[in-house]
Amino acid sequence: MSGIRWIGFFFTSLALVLLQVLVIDQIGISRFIHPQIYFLALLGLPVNMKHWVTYVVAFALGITVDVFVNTPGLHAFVCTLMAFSRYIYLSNFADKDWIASNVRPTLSNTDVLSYLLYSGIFSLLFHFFFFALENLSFAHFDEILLSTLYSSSISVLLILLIQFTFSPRESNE
Amino acid sequence: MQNLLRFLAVYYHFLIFVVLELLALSALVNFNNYHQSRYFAAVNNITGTIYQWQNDVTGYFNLRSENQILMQENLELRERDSVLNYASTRNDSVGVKDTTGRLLYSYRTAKVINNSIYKRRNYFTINKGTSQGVRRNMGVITPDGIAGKIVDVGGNYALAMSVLHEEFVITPKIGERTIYGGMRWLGEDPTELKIDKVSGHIPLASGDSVYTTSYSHFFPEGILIGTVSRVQATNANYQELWVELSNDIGQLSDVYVVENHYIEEILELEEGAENERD
Repeated sequence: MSGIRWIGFFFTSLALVLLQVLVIDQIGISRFIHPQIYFLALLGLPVNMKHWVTYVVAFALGITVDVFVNTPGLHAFVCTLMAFSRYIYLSNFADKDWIASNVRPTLSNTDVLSYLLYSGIFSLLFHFFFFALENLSFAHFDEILLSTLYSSSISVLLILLIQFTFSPRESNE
Repeated sequence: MQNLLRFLAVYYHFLIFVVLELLALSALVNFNNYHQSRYFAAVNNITGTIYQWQNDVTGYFNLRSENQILMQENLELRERDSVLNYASTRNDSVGVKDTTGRLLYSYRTAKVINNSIYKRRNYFTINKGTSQGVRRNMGVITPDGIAGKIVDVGGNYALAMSVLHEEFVITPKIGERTIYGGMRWLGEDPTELKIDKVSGHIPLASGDSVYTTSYSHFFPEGILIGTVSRVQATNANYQELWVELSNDIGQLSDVYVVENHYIEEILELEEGAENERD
């Protein structure tokens, strides 16, 4: 990513984090629904970025959220894990054209179905690890699964909404 | 050595991943279990300020109901002459003396700027800290009842453990009878606390008001906690008791921080006794 891109990424992430902690986290619908959307910033990183860079970025992003919600390490851990799984996913399962063309996986750069799959998988993973780690035990496994299911469905909806609203169509570099 | 270097050259990506995860995990274990002391003090000024901005905006939304509550409380205070007789007014805090004239409790007003009720261990943040005299182990109440206790303090903000926290245990009384067994939140319904083992011979009925006792050092005696919502006999000797909180913890906004002037002495004595037993 060039310097301009980094600055853009920085402000996008900041906006997502603030949206997360100031708006979404404040909405208490049920104890099973804690949708996280800020990891959208990670999903949009360029496909062929060096993967150790994405780990560091993810860690920083997670720590930022942790600072706000007083859970030092929790979001950092899950975000870094997310970046790692994203690398595994992209190098093994993803459409090879993405990697070849250095595209940023956003809704406007791909078709809706494959984006839905991409964001859905990571939403499920993110929320599962998040709730499991928050509880630090599998004693309430059914609750973890329910929370994961509800929260990630809402989170995918929100992510699609954000993408429809803000994601400009860009040319592949 | 060469093998090690070759290994590092090939797997450094993965190593960075592992190092970062270990870092996060150690932070998780070190800072989260209990009160995150040093950590909270270090960052609360930044996040506290941002939450304060948010609260400056959202605070307007419930002005009407807050006003009503204040009016109601003023009325009650006016009616309670006996309390006013013992109250001395200082700059921004009101003190209550005990019968021998010692100042037992002081109150400070504060505003809740961040709150949660859907986690297993809930905390809320208030906008007063050491600069305003707030310290650890102070109680937090509202006109409606108890809300929590301060567990961590920064310069201008403090973190309070909510009543809705699995480690928040309180001994209540119903009428003049102290109920032993430890009342706590079960982590589910944010309006209900429970006592597991109450002696079976104590007559209890739903609708009874539940108050704090002088046993809890964080709150003055006689502060409302809630009302009994259900009683169920588990066997011949014990019964279970559910208490509906009088306070809507999710809607906390203006609160009082209660300072017990003798809390350190009391805790020190109790700690000493416990160490002796060990």
